[in-house]
Amino acid sequence: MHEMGTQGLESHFGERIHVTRMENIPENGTSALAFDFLVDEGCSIIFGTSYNYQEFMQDVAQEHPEVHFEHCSGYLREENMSSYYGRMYQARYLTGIIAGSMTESDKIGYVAPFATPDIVRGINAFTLGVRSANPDATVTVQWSGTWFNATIEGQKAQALISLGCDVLAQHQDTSAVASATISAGKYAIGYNADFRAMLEDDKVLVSSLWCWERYMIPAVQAVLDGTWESQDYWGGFEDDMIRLSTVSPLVPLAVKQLVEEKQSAMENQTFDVFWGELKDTDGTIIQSAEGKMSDTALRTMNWFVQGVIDED
Amino acid sequence: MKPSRIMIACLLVCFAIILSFGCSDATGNTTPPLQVGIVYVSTPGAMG
Repeated sequence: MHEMGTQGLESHFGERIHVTRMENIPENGTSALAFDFLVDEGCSIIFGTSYNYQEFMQDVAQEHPEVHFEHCSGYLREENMSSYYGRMYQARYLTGIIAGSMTESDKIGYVAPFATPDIVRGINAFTLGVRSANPDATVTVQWSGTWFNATIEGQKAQALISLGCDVLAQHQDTSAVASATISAGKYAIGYNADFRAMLEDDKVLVSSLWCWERYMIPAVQAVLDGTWESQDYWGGFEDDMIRLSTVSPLVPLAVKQLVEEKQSAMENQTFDVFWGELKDTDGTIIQSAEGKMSDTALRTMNWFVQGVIDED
Repeated sequence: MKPSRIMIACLLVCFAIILSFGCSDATGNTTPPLQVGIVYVSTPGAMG
């Protein structure tokens, strides 16, 4: 979770920085007021941690060229505004291998908030991982329409379980999906935090995790040093921006070894998730057999790979 | 009494120390903390 990165930042810099947090800020004009407030508070660097903040942050950045802005998960930039993110799709792929190996019904569920490119990319990567281990399996997506609502997320999980899904993944800000899943005796895939440690249940097979401090600490140091420059950062396994939690003992050793092999290949950049021929759900070839997908195509992804069932 | 060179040197050292204390804290860090802002769509205690 992003807050762990913020805490890592505070731990690293101690009294050299002071962090002001603004929470529950919706992705509309209210976010511009929040950014303005932080500028008025004297912030030299401001992080915005949600995709749809970016246009509002850009407006405020243009008005305050003396302040450094850092937007997470978007693509808009200014001379005083960077974009940063991680290749979470790589971790999603690996968790997909585990999900595909563990399902008995060949039906896997996924609860997600909105169809932004980041989330679509994650669902596709997860599904490619699932199908690499189990070509017969499908991934059914339920849209919650919220980042953070435990009640709705739990209801969507129940709906997927009712459809016969026996492994559930999520892109949500609470652990409600995992809680509902393990309560029903099914397997869960965690995200954002180590759900197996949190929920103390081995039916949480693995979690994909962010290491935001890997980006945030150098960014703040650059402001302190006067060397900050606008950049477009997208880190992956190779620089520890993302990682996997430990894997549940319920997962067979051969599957764990396969996951480790694939992770090493991604770290060495001899393999990536969106590699070779890819077709969408209609069978249209989106990418030819040669090489891997460009970052531009990854960042604008608005189609689903074969195997995804969109419940919208 | 005419001040000796040693007395003048001592005064200069004291002046430098006073200046030094005036500009720095106990850690030697002379600047106020850098203000950092962060905006969350949910609560920091949540996963996002």
